[in-house]
Amino acid sequence: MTTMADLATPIMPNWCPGCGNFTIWLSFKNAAIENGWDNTNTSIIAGIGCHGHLVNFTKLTSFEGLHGRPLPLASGVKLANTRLNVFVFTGDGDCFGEGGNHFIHAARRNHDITIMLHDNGLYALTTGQASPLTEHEVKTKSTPTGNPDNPINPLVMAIASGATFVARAYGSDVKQLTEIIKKANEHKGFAIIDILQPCETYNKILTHQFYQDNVYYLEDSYDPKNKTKAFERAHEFGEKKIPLGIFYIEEKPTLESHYVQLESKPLIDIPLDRKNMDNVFNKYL
Amino acid sequence: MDKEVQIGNLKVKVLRDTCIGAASCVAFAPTVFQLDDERKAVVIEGANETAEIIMMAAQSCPVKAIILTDATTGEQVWPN
Amino acid sequence: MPTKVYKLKIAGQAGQGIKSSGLTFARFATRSGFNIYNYFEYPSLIRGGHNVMQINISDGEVSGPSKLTDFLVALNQESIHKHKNSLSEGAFVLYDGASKIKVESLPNSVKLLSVPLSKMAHEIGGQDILINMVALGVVAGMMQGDMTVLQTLVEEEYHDKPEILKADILAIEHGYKYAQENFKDLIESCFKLQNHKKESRMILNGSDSVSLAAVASGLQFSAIYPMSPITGVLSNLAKLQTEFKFIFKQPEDEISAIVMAIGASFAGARSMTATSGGGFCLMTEGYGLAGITETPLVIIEGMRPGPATGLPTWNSQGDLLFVLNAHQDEFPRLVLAAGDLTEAFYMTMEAFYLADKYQTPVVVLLDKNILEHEQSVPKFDISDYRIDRGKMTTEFSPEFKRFLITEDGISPRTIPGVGNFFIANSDEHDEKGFSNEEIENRNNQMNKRMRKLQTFIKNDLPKPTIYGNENADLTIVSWGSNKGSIIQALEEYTNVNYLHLTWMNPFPVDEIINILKNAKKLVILECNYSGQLAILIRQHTGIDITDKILKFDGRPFFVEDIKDIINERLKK
Repeated sequence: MTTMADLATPIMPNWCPGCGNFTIWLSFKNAAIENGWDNTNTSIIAGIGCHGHLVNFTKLTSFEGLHGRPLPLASGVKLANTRLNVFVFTGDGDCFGEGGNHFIHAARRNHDITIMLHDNGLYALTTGQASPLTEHEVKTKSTPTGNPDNPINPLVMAIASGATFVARAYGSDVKQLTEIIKKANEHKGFAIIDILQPCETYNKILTHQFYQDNVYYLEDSYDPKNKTKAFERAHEFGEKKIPLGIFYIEEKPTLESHYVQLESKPLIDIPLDRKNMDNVFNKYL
Repeated sequence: MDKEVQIGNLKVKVLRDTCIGAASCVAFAPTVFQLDDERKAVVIEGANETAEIIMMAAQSCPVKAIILTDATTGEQVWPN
Repeated sequence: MPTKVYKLKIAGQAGQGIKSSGLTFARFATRSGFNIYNYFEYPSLIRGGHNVMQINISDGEVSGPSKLTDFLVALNQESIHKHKNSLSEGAFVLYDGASKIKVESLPNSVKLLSVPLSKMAHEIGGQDILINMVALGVVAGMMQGDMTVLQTLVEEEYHDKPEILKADILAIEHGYKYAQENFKDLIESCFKLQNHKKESRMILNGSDSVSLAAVASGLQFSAIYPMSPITGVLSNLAKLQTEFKFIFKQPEDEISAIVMAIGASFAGARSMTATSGGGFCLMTEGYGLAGITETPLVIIEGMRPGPATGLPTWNSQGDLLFVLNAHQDEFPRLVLAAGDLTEAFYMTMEAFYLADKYQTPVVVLLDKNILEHEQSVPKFDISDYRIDRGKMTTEFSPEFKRFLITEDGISPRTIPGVGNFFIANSDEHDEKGFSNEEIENRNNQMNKRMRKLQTFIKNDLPKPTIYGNENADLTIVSWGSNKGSIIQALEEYTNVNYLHLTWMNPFPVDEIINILKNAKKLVILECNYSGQLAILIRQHTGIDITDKILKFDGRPFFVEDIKDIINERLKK
């Protein structure tokens, strides 16, 4: 059983007032409480960015690694202990800038981990530079004459790279986000939630108001198994048409399930005393 | 005039015109804040909640529409 | 009397099975009771190019490559041209008499063995690859080797390919018979490879010994990206993972390799990665992450000449100062260098023990020559190796302080999933791992981490080894694979000794100072441009070894080179 108090640490959040991180953090804690995630069954892996500070406010054994490297870190953790629910908290710069190469390969390998992408459309911790998800021609600290680059669409990239659970949520809709986080963790395989996260301090375009006016939920008749349809809807973004919900789901063996060594127990529970190596040594005689 | 409700040692007020209904305060402190039919946050009479939770709710407000005042000193605690 | 080393060299076009037949013959020698040291040269071409396998055979110890050759098997014209000036007095040269190979300009003391290798191979119905098997048969015949030993060996290697097996056996028999019938008088003056029936030894290279050592040490997770010269470690671990129930993963790049290994180690798995200098450039970011988060990790760094792609399939010792200083700012680095594949085995096992004990990354440096050249060694003994995970606990305790300030600098360690909350934090952090930039906390945590080095120096830093007797007219100082050639050369001298350095950080300062101070004459040998070990010695001890022999052409110090170096200095 996990309570809100169990998840609290002595450190209070230091995000800017109105930061989307507050409600993303709250949604994750709600999911943890409802599913009983705690220090015996869950670990959080975070990159470097505003999102990363979350490890200081959440009492779940965690690893805040290097900018851009949470995915390989999480892959190692999951392979070593398949019992753990492994969550990766990453930002759009952390995941698609510095960590872009890792994202593609972790997705195609279908590690059984859950990626919480804090998508605020720029680098906020370093005060507002353009990120790989920043729209074309948008003015930022690093693109005063307008962003010369075209952005990556995280949902399209995820589906194309082989992710087998791809969803998008609005960070302030706590009820919906909590449900999607639980489903993403239940999913066996590489699950990513693109969480639209307003950054009131630096992103004057993608604000709470903008999202409230333009998001809508995928219709009930939408079939997340249809990959081409998922690609199509994943491209939708703009006035009155920002779809939320689960875009794509595919049942595919996870990377971890490939290893016969892991069938009966997690790697770290397998005894590592290897006294008898004569049959191997003798091969060299 | 925006209604002010005292909870514990805090006086809590929502600036109705500033509020945009992001409802992050409702998410943090559902016993203290609710959205009315105009999607505006209102403080519930007679609610009780810890000062920390109310502070977090206030801090999460994207437009700083929640004003917290220390009941004993009368000094504004948030936004500081 | 120094032990007699007989030098057999098989040379020819890449793809003629030079390495595989050379390895078969080397195994034939050890199963007949002899020791061997192989030296294989090949260019980094996708296909083609001149390959040379030199097999040094001795009934005593043999540990280094030689320049001169006693028996050359020249499988093409280029082999005659390239090796005719490195033949010893009265050397044998075997070539294909049925081909157009010309052999005029050879020294007159050479004993020519013209054998219709290709004709014999085609008669048996084999293609060119069979030529080297016929050649092996001839060499075995010249050395009067025990045919049954050679046949059992070939049967073991090709038991799953019956048609190749039949052809190989025939080829060897024909070659053997041809030598016995046509070169009766020359056989007497050839090396005798009778079956001594001594306990046979293992033949393997450094990649094999590092892989076996890792498995013996309880390796649980390894992530390695392919790169010469450590790819052998990758393929060994990939094969052994199912039998020994660990996981080997090939990641997308070296950054991922080291970070994955750190993640697995954080979660409690004994982890390792391996790379060469270029890959280690990419790993330097993760190297310090393991340092500040105090996560145990073993890193094997196989050295080849740089910069950048450099000489991918040749030898170097050029990464020493780079590895000692890689990653920004300071954390406790444990760095040691192996001198041969036996040292590589036991040092790798030690590295896993030390990584867990000191909760920090341990780098084992290996020259390419150690990783890729076979040597016969006594079977490894792992009976007294204990898996000791240091201060690791999976017991729950409510206020677990993973980064507790301790006197020896080592905090209690726990892992996720056992109820103990902590943050492995790349930010500077307090005793539970919360980000903390306060002055007192920073000083405490930095001092604590660095104190591990003092604890290591007190408890685990071995003394450097001196080969040869204490007082000598000349002391050679060196490290890495130069050890093999130096020791073999030293057999012919009583007044020369060799100071062999293995621990690079922490550095055994006091012992080195008094050894160097008492030495009459010093010379230092290194395979890098500016004498990096000499620089390290001067940095730590203030002693400047001015007589430096520096080689950076990718070739090793041959045993003959060492003797020349010694003779020049003993004359003065």
